[in-house]
Amino acid sequence: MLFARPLAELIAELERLPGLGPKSAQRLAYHLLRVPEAEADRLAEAIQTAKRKLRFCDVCQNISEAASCEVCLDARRDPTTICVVSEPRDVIALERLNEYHGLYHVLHGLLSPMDGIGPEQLKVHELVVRLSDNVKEVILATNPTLEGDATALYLNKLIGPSGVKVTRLAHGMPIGGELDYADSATLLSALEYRREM
Amino acid sequence: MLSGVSTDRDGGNAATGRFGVSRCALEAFRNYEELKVEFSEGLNVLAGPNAQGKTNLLEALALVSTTRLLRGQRDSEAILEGRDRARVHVSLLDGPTELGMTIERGTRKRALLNGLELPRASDLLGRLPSVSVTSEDLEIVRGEPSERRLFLDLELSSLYPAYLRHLTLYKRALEQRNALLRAQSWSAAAAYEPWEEQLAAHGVAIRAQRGAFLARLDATARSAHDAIGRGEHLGLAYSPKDEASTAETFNEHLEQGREEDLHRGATSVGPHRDDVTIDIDERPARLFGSQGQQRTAAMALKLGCMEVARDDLGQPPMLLLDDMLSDLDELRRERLVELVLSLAGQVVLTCTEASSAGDRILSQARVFEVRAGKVLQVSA
Repeated sequence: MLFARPLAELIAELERLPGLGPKSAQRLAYHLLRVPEAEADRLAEAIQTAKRKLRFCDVCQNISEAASCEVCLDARRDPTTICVVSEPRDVIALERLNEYHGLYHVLHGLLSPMDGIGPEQLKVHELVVRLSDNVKEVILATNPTLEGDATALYLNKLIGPSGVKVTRLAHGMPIGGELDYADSATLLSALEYRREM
Repeated sequence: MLSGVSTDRDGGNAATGRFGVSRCALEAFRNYEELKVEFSEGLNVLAGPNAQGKTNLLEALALVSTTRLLRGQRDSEAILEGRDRARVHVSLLDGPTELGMTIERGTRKRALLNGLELPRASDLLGRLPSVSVTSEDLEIVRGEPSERRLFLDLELSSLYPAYLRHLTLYKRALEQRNALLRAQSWSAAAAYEPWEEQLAAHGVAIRAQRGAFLARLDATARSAHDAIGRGEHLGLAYSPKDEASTAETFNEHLEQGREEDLHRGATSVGPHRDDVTIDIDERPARLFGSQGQQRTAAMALKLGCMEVARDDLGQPPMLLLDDMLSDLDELRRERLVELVLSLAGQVVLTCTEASSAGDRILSQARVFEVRAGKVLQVSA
């Protein structure tokens, strides 16, 4: 049996979203058909508003409502330190700590030739431009994966000659974790980067 | 990479130090609807006609030990027809540790430690060390270089989690560099460097560990071969395709090879192209060995692994012998038995007739009859 045309179109659009297969897309579509019209309107509006009102911060490339984001505009933050992350959600994770008071730079991805992502596909140029601005330290906080490490190596080579100090987040055991249940890769890395007490 | 740190693991077995399985429970695994077996901590003989499930039971033990099926098949092939998931559950000889593996259609397999899921199936490795000797091992001697690399990778991964980590990252970095070669749009050196640097770091570690392992295996496999062979000498050596043995030379080779690699669309330097030479009386066994010689060499390789593993672990790993007795004449069978008794801790071996195991084994073994997916203990 065929879906009515508007329903088929809705399912097709939902299916294009990451993490949604055909079945989930159908389930969502039927759900949306059942909800009150006002609720559906709110969803449509929220999507449109987010799309229209949000942009990338000119400086750090994080998602922002204005040309410069709140972090970049905040005079209390230390402009000599930049923490480089791959995704906007990484900024939120670090901000939750309320410990880091420098600025950020969001790359929007990691190097991965397999996926067609080279330096030009990332916000690398935008980072290099910022370095002339009295920056003293760049913290490379990309994920501890092969691609995260490769991106960090690439940026280190690029930034190193400018004389800016480059650091990388440590990796090791999760706090409160049990050795016996840790994955071997984490345990190995914790052993390799052990420190003297 | 881990200089100064002992590679000994606490393993979970270290307390009393016997590697092996006391109880094994299967659910919808291969031809077993449901099965519970209690193994002896020494010798175990699974006897019965072909195609009754002897090897399947052996395979279940290999699965929780290595996370892989014995015959290199896809995991889902181990699920009983008409069922959605297969379960293997074992209690280790040493006290309270329980390991499990669940294979489900359409998802990845899950490893359990004392009932809790581990982050990755590979985190099970090293908790139940084992060596398996099967007729498939012939391919190590006779097959393509990739068979010998796979043999090394499996043995080393099960002994050293660090090796598996190097190997996984190396393979992924290789895919990334090859993708770069094929895309040809970012020809700048800077685009290659991050991948080449990681290839070099992991590649050198892989070569060093393979080389060191083979140097030891050369000695242990040779003496196993002396015992079960016909007076010929076995020789093993790691045979790298290129001379990159330090991270620096590795990096240089990669850099110099870029242009040629661009034409090939693949990386020509590194351990993914290496081989192992296996000689019998200084002639390549692959080309000149008879099937019988190749079989004996393969068996000696695995028994050699047994001894290397025992040296590393302080205790012999569990030994799984699949139908290995029928191929040998009486004299060599006796020598194999002798060797197994001297090397091994827990042994599980299969044969069509219990009597073919010989009195020396039968007098000490717990014997099981395997028939149509039922396993019956017939001796203490």
